[in-house]
Amino acid sequence: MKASLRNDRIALGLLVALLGLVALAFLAPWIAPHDPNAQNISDRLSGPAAKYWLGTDSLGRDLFTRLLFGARLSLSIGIATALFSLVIGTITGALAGYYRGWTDRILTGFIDFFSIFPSLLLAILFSLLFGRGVAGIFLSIGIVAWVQHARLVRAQVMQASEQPYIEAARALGVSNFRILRQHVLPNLWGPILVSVSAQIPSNIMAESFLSFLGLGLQPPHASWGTLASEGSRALRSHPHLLAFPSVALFVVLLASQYLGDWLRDRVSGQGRLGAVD
Amino acid sequence: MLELSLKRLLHSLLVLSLLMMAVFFLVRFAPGGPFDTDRVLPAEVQLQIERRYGLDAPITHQFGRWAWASLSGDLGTSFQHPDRSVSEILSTALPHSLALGGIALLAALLIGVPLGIYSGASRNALWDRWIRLILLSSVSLPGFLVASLLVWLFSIQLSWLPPALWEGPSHWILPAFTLMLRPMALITRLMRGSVMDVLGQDYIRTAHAKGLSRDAVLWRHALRNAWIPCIGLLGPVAAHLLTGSFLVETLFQIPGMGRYFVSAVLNRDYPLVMGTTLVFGLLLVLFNAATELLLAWADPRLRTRSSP
Repeated sequence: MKASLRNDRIALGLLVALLGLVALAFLAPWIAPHDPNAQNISDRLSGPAAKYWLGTDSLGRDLFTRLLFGARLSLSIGIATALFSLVIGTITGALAGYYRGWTDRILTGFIDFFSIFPSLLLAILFSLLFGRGVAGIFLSIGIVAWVQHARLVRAQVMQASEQPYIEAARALGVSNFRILRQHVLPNLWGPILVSVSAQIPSNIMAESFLSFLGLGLQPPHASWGTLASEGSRALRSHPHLLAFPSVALFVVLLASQYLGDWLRDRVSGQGRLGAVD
Repeated sequence: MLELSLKRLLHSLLVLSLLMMAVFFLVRFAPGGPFDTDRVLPAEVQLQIERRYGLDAPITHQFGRWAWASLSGDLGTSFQHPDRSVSEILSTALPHSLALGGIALLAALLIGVPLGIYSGASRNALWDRWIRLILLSSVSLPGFLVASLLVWLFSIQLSWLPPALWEGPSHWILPAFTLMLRPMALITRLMRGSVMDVLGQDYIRTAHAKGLSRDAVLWRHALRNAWIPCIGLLGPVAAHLLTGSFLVETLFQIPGMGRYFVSAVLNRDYPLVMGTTLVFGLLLVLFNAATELLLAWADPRLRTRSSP
């Protein structure tokens, strides 16, 4: 796996860029040149320059600093929602797929519900209930993403538990829980990892989409979506306010989707990109 | 087959009505109401407003009333636009959205399908790598970046096209392009994979072996099977067009369903949220049923299968 990463120079470059961005986001409070909320009215709406690397917004706040803090928020929502899916979705998917019965009936009910409406529409409706704070957006996106992951795990577990070696284990008198934990799930880490890693970019995208429309995080919070939304109001005169956050978002999405596809190709052992999201 | 589709359609409609019930309760239990103001209203004024809009009845009662009325096409009155009924708003907004979505879908198919065929059939590794990167980029581009770039370039810098509104063909180009980009990338990607898959199969080798030209093999033998998986993509594409329309209609100020939905959610305009959600759900259910029929027509192998 390491050797093939070294051979694919695009994947390697994108991985380095992505890790660099994550590190910058993590270190934001220590390396940011300004305070993200400090307003400097006399310097408002200045373009990129030595003092403010990427310029300032309409309240004179440093855009570079706000981008770093925005990265913290956007990336953490993307990663946290994916972890939420990983834990809840894997457990319920595995239980439903292995035991069938009432867990399965409830889960397939959920899946039916969620398969009519696109996930962003549902996330918007959930955000009405959970509110537009960080926790509310996390829940709205996480709840929708969770079902998609559970559906995949359920199908995989169902398929795996019909294999002869599982039957053999059952015949030997191994308990169901142990079969699930030691014989079924260890073989599924590949697809599970692929599904969860594919959720990170789509959840980051969902957050920025909601925030841009004003349906997600609200302005005192700086995420890439809210920064782009603020920037879009000054498109005519100060396009850099929209350009920098959107480009940051684009780079992260491109890198993580490329690496996600790369991972999927490695795990499934096929070298093509034909599968649908 | 027809009976099966009908059964599935009925099932979807049942799920949709349960979903509407869930949305109704969700919206009502949401914190904050449409008439919340910074001032505290006197209790009697509050009560009067609630009575005027039927918000004082028990919630199950409210849902029953909504469901019964909606069957006869009465979706209540919008909170934001007190002079217009929800059905009236929806009936003026729907044609705009259908036109926008239709143009975008057509464009996505007209560009995506040939591009996918071409890149799937060509065996040039360098070109192949580039097309992968381009497709991935167009999936990763945030819609608001595309829209803003287009407006900045074509409306602000060059003044060739109007930056907003929905008044004639010149107004359609920028929003339709923004909306089309992602579905187009999905279609190209799937078509490309499907063509590559089919070209690797035995019957294609047979066709080559009996001396057919490459073009004849591709067009007469490979594509007949290769385009079928694309029908299955129409559902996800419709979902993309729908959620994409929230952004595109808001940014370009197109008076369609997506824009009304966003503003209704922002302003907690319950009747309008319910009305738009219901129409979205019906559209998606019908669209999916139509895709299923199309799929069964295109691929006889699927007709006998009992589940999708």
